[in-house]
Amino acid sequence: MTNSKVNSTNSLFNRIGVLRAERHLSRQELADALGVNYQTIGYMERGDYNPSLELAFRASEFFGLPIEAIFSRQPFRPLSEQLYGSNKPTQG
Amino acid sequence: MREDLLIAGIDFRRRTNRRFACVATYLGYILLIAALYTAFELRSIVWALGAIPGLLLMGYGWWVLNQVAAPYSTDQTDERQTQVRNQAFFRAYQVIAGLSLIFLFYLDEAPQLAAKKGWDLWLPQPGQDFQPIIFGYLLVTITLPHAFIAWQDPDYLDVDSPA
Repeated sequence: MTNSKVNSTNSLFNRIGVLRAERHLSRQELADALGVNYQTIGYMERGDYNPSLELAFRASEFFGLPIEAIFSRQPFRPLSEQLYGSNKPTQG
Repeated sequence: MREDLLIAGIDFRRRTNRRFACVATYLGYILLIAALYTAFELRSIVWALGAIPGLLLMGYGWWVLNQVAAPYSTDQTDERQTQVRNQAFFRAYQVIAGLSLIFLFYLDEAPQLAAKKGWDLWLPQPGQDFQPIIFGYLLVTITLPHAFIAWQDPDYLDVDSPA
């Protein structure tokens, strides 16, 4: 759910699904906020659709996050790993 | 959730069923024409009745394709829907233009080939053959973009929930 791959030749990953779940939004609510059809949100989450730059900016403004926090050309690391991954307890 | 695609107990949110509808549209037309031709050749009204299943199959498939493509045919489409629609119309244009060119080339070349080589080539006769060709051309022109959308869109079940 964290990473969505668009296709093998033009990969774009996103965190739309995670961000939507965090904010307890339905696809319809997010779609209304971004001005698209709710199916398009599903396609984006599943990685079947690359949004336009304008839609990416709208998502960025809506979530209050920089674009690179939502979209990436590299697979995202899980948020938990990003937050706590470097604080592994040392043994001994 | 596209409840409108649950038609007569068949779930056209599934791509497999939508593909059957695409095939049914054109297969129905072929059955219709084949039955009418046979009835004309054999002077038999019984064969003309055989056109009814073809007509029903074509009509049903045509209606399903219209239902599937309905959200793509409004002025309220978003950028993804517009992109899908443009791709479908572009592909349909390529196919229709290609078929038209091949057919026109055949019409131009067939009489000469028949005269030179002595081949028994089919040439459409005015009235008898051109009517089905024109109606088939009309059918393909109207339905092909919708058929491309119905054929290529993935299953709607997992991406289509507004929840």
